[in-house]
This record gives sequence, C-alpha cells and structure tokens, in this order.
Amino acid sequence: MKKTPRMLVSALCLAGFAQAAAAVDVHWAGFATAAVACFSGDDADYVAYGQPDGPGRSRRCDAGIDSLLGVQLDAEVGDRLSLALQMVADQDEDGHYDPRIEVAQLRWRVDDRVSLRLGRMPAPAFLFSETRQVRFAQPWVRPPQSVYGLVPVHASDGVELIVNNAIGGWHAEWQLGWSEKTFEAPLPNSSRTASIDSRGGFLYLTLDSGGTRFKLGYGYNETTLRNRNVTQLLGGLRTFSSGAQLADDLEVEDSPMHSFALGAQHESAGWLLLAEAGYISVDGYPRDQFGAYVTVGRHFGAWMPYLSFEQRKTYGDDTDPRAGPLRAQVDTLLAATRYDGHTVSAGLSRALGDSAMVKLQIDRVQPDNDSWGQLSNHGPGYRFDDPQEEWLATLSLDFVF
Amino acid sequence: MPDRSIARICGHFVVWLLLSTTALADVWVVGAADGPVQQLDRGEAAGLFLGVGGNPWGVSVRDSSDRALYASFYRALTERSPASIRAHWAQRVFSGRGRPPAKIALHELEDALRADPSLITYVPAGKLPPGARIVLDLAEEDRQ
Repeated sequence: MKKTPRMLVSALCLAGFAQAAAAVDVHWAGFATAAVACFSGDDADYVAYGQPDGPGRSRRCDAGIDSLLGVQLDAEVGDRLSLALQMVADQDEDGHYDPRIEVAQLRWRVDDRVSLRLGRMPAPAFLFSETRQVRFAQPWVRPPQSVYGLVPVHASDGVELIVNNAIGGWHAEWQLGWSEKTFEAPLPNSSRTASIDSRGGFLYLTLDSGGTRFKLGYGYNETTLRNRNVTQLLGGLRTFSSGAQLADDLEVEDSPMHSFALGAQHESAGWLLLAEAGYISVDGYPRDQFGAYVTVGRHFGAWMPYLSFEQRKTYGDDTDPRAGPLRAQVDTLLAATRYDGHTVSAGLSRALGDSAMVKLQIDRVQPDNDSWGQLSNHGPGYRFDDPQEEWLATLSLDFVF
Repeated sequence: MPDRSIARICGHFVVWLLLSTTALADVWVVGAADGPVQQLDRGEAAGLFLGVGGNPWGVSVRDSSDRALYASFYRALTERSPASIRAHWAQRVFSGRGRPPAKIALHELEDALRADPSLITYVPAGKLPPGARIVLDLAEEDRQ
C-alpha cells in the first residue's frame, strides 16, 4: 500500500515537471460505466473481479458490480518519452470505491517499432485485459469471468518491452516483461482476505491483419497465497505423516504458476466473432483451471445483438485420503477453489453518438455440481450438490470522454 | 392478412440485412500531389488509419469530420462499423498505443494540404481537392 502514494506523487511530480518544460503535450481522457445488475438467486451472490458481494442473496439488484470511473493522463515529452497515469475508482475487495492507480508508466519509444515501459502496468494476458475496465471498447457488459477471472492479478509493477514487426502479411506485436504484485483478495464466504504475492515474466504475441486478430502467450509467476484459515489447516495436517505430505502439496508458497492464453477476434461485413481460452496451472490447492468463451455479434447500424457462451473447469482431485481426520476441511478448501460452471449470455448494445454505448445483457448462470461457480456468500439453503440455474440481467451505460 | 403482413416485414428485414452488409466503397484516399506517399494498398491504408503497424512515411493522418463519409470509408476499408472503429481506438488510447487521427472538414482540405504536404485523408470519389492526388481508390480495389 505504501508504494501507491509514492508512485502517485512521483508520477504527478514528473507530470508537473514535464508541463513546466513547455515541450510537453498533455492529453486527458476517461472512461466510465454506470450499470445495475439483478440476480435471480436468493441463496448466493453473483460476484466478479474479487468483490466481496454482489446482486442476489445480499440484495436483489446491485449497481456496484460493474459501475466505475477511470481517468487517464498522457504527458508526451518530445517524440520519444511519455508518462501515462490512469486512476480507476470501482468497487474494491473491501466494498469501497477508493481511487487507485491502475497504470503509472514511463514510456520510451526507442524507434518506430520498439518501446520500453517502466512502472505499473495492466496484465496483458487476454485480448481485452489491458483495457478490461474500458467497457465501451468491449462487446459485453463485462468481460467473460470464466476467462478474465482466471488470472487474479490485473495490474502489477515492472518493466515491459514492446516490439513490432511484420510476419508475412501480419502485423506482429511482441510483449515481453517482468512484474511483481502484492495485494489482498477477498476469501469467498468470508469477511477475511488472502494476501497474494506474485512475481514473474510473460511473453505475448498479438497478430493483426485487416479485421482479424490473434493473441497467444505464456506467463510464469512464483506465487504465494496466505490466509489464516489455510495456514491453520496446513498446520493441523502437519501433525501427522500423510497429512504433512498433503500440506506440502496444497501449500502455495513461492509456487510456480504457468498461464497460457489463446485468443481470436474477427470483424468484417458487420459480424463480430470472438473466442478466447486460458489455462493456469498452480502447484497448490487452486490446482489447474481452464476457461473459454465464444461470442458472436452482428452490427445493424448502431445496434449489435450478441450471443456468448463461456465455460470454466477445474482439473484435479476434489478430495484426498491423506487428509485423514481433516478430510472435511480439506474438501471444503478444494471446493472453494472450484469455479466450474457455464454461462450463456444474450445481449443487445446500441451506440449513442460517438462516445457512449448502452447495453442490456441477460446471463443464464449454471454452476456445476459441487462447485461454487461464479457465486459467493452462499446461504444455508444453497444446494452445492445440485445448484439451480439462475438469471442475471445487467443494464449498463458505457462511455468515454 | 396477418400472414401477408408478417411476410412483408420479413421481406423488408432481409432487404435491410442485405443492404447493411453492402460496403459503400466510393471513397478515395488522398494526399498532397507532392507528398511523400505515391500509392497505398488497402492493408497499408488500414494500418495507417487504425494506427497499427507504424507510419514509415511519417505522414499526418486525418479523419473526416463528416459522419457519413467516416462510416463509408471505414466500411469500405475494413468492413467494420463506426462503433467498432471507435471501440478499437478506445482500446488503443487506454493501453497507450496511440490516439485516433485528428478530424478535418472537406472544405478545409485544400488549405490543409498546401500547408502540410504530408497529410493523408479521404474524400468522396470524384471530389479530389486541387493540389491532391489519389493514393488509393477503394472503389477500384473493390472492382478488382
């Protein structure tokens, strides 16, 4: 937390210096979403982005899940150097709307094809990851959580090299970087948070030609997950021999996390086709997770109806005989990291002038049996063994300025 | 009677659907006659106007402030709607990859090309301003 104000002050000082230097070109821009989502479930909340609660059991309708405001300052010093500062206010893991720095970068354009970025950067894993909060730029009311919820780190501090070249008839953009992040994430069905520490490198390749884009990439992080409940459980397991072995397998302490991403986007003749898949493999209790979606949309003037299907799947055992007398607690821990389920979405968007978009999206949400799905705050009446399908309706107004 | 009305509505819908997929390609990409660009192909023009793939000619790209021309141009060049193009630019702006071209009105073109020979923009086919050259004829490309 100490890094954020320091970075902000540094960034503002740099911006101030830059402006004083007179050779600076300063641009402001912003984005916002005002949205309300209503969920049919009474026994659990629909949650996204690590928020503590959402529409459903806590309240039927919720404006906090998607509403946000972002402001960006770009200060260009000459042709080569620029400073970018982006602040976003959305609902955080404490349920507050405190503005935080999403981007604070010094960018050096070495030449027309190579640039170097230093500072806080958004994680670039998927097609819309770097602008995941700029909903105006996306076809949906929110990015499909089965994929965009796979990687819990959305912004981190580090260095990034971007190289552009041509491969055949394609324009290629390579992103190579290293970053680290320490943050708190809410624990499902708890008022507590977990401390997550992650550091590692990534390589992503984006290929563009006409209206077609492919993105593929790999990330490697060493990740530590700490929370009191899990620490106590692992301590209990270590009191007997088979349990100690299991505790070592479950613990996420500087554990390797491999992430793979593959995405495709095609737009032509009014059609929009989008498909992405992600896979993360963690040594520890989160196990291996897969997520994918397909979206088809069709522009009719300012209107665009769209359909989307997404699926999330966890690979790994849901129980372990080595847990002995602590088997029930271990099963609960493993169940709490199963987000499996599928969602079918139908939506309609309409452009309002050049800078605004209104969207209505209906999601049919179906968690898998014995999975938490995209839900949290499960009540006593929630049937984990046979969860019902539920409906989520979201109306949003996205705009940029 | 209701059946006939439904058939008529469906017919209108199909015609609208077909028309909505037809690109209006009568647009020329133009630059100054003594400018750095002699000719562009469709991919090069798309790269310049969408800010993807660099700007090896060092030209100043301008969008038209005429909404209808803007829509026709991008449909002809990229088969994408104006909303899709604006979403593309929102992605680039907020990921630090550039800003959309500044806009220019058709009546300002002649003076602007004289003042800045590196300027590249587009006009309706047949409305070439004095001192300009056609660097890409999208209608001609479509016929080929």
